[in-house]
Amino acid sequence: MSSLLLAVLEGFRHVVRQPLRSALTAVTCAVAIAVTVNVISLNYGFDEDVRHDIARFGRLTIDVGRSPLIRPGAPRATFGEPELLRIREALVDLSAVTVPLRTESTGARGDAEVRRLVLAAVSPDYPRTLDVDLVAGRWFTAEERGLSVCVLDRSAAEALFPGVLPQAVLGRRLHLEREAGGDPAVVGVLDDPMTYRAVYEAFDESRSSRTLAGQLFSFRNVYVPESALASPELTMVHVALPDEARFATARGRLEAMWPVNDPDVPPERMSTVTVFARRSWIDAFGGTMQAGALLGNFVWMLVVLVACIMITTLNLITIRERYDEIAVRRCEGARRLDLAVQVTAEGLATSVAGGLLGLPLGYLGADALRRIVEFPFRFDPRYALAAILVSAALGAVSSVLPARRAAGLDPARVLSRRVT
Amino acid sequence: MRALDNVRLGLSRVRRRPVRSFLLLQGTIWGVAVAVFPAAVLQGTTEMVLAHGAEVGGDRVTIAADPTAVDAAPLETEDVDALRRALPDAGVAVVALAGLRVEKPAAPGPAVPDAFLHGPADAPAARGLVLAEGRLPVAPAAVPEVVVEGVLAGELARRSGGGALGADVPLPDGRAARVVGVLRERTPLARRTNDFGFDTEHPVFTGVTGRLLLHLGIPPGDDAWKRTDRCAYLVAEGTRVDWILLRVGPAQLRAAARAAERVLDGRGRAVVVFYPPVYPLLVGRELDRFRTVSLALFLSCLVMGAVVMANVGLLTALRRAGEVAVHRVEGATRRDVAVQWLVEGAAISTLGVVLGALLACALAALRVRLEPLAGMRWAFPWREAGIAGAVAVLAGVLAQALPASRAARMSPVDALVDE
Repeated sequence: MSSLLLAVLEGFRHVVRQPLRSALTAVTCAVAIAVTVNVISLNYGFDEDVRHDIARFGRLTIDVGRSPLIRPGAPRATFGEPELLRIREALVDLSAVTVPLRTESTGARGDAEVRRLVLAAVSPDYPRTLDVDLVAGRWFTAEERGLSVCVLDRSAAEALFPGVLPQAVLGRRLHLEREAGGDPAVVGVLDDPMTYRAVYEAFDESRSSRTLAGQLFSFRNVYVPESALASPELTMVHVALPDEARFATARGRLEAMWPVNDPDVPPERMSTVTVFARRSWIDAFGGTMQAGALLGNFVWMLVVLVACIMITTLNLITIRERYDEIAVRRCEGARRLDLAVQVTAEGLATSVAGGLLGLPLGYLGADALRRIVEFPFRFDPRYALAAILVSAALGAVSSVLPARRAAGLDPARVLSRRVT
Repeated sequence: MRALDNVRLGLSRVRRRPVRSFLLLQGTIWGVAVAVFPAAVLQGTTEMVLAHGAEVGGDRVTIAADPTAVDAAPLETEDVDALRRALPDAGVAVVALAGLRVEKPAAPGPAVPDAFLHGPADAPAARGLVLAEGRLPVAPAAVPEVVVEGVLAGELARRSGGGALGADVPLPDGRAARVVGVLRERTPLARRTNDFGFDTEHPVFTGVTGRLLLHLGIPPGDDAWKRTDRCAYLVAEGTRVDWILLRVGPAQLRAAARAAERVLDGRGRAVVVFYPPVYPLLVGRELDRFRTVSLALFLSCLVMGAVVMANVGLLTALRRAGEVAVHRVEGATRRDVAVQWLVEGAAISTLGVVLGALLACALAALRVRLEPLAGMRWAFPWREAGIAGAVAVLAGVLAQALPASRAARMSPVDALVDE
């Protein structure tokens, strides 16, 4: 035990004896770890945030509505009060909250004008279909009717009343740019469940190809009481269930009424009404995000691998320069294991020191990239520990071959060559 | 001449230790690769879209009525006229514009069109199709006239034993239409490309991207006819329009889509507007800021490479003391020794740059292969590669500065005594 400790101490002494070389090796590790901590923080932090966001879209909510299929010439699917009645009857024993939804695309004017928002006429139960809280005010009541009041999504409030805090938007009126007009007063502002709205808006090139029903989940809506839009047609019916068991039962019953569309089936054979369990979407989208995060690991792994290859090569060259020292240590009684431990300790000490140096470097790098690229690069301290472990692994792995070479050295051959 | 000798000497060291040199060059190789690879894909794709937009859907906006909208009014020819009037005012230079009504055949079969497309006579131009022979249809005509797409024309020609012109095509109402024009057959890639610019037969599209689009709330369409090249175009009767097709320059794709959406919104239409979402980001150079990320990775790899090279240089300066001493005894000045080391650094780094550029090409080719976007290509980005290469060589030379100074300051007498 004591000889191993001595070997470790000898390793540390060697690191101090060659300060320039050790510092240069540590810099290599520092750069690799700075990249690692940045990439891991971005990958997993972004993935975690987005999955947290979409989980707020209502895990126990089912949407029923017209299938989003473009079928020119085919008669438009009917979806209105009779379907709402069928849904309510089918779920009568499940304590389900059913919220009929009518939507219209509209322009609106507050302090600023917004060309396109979704006007969503819903019942006071609508918030129960989401896991999103109000940041200001209240939801409208059953007594409030027509276009007297509205609740805004936070991003819609910010677009209509730029620079005004949500609390200060309450009581303000907005003018709806539609034939029938309307000047509802804002009574509430719904929180924005999208942490990265700026990124989403900047790259959401497909926004115009989403249907009105799909646009609802962009959360740039104006919610008005159910009676504000009087069409007998419905856009959708939201069904919120109280627990997992009743969610599963409700889903089964609704899918028995309107079978789920398989994306592989030709559009002309698809059902005209769709049952859409939000949880499936949340899980599928979350899975895609996770897969993306896994793929993102390739970047830091590549950088660490490159660092590992170069440090291994460097260490091998260094060992070659230290044959005499190693031979003398063997003659002094050091075992092969002691030498392997010594070389590994040297590698670990240098790389962990480099890893620690890499953390502030990573912080500065993330800060610079966030400003330049306008993307949520960040330094997440939770992943700093992971990065330090990576740096230790880098040191250990890049010491394996040099340690083997040092341990396998025959002192007699080295010293005899030296003497002759 | 002496400089050439120095280069030869530097390269001979690489030859003597090829594996070690290769391993030590990893930083330079990967650094150059991560700098050049994204630029290669961005440049190649942008060039492809600008030069061959029609083939990969990079010049087309397609509009349909929103199937989920409450009380959605169908599109009509008046909407197309409104677009024709309003788009130039919005600064959009319209290449072609047409509204099409789609009619399926009564009984599909060989030499029967997959769809009859009712629209203006020049409607094929709005889909990027070119007349190969004959003329465009006129209406009214004693016998209904049609223009047929390339693959269908081939089938009609085989059936008649001659050309497709003059052949009869059965209409869904039982009448026969005469073929008066044949459109040039589209390339296989164009036939596979959908309104989003994706290659619909690419395994990544069928397995991942197509499903992702559904998850994002983008509606699929009953529009397989767009990709068969087996349709017939007739001059429209009536006002109903199922699809509006708009062709503009690839640089105006987004502006055209936004303007069209605004015009139709203003007319009370709820529409879905399709166009390849990636191309405007590329052509508008909005993805260029992400080059900073590849620059950061490039610099990271380069710093690692340079630091390791400097470290190895310091070691070898000691080991090559004898060689340096002999060189000095032969008449080389301290400056010659320093220059020799710096040239060695430059020569080795240049080798790393070349290998890195080759690796970047391989990565770009692989990336293009895995991408379902029909217009994704790669092209060698000479400017970016030149800059990356110059910086990498400079870094290699700087990395050798400390070892070069140490070697130059070495006393030949001491070194030979030690030997």
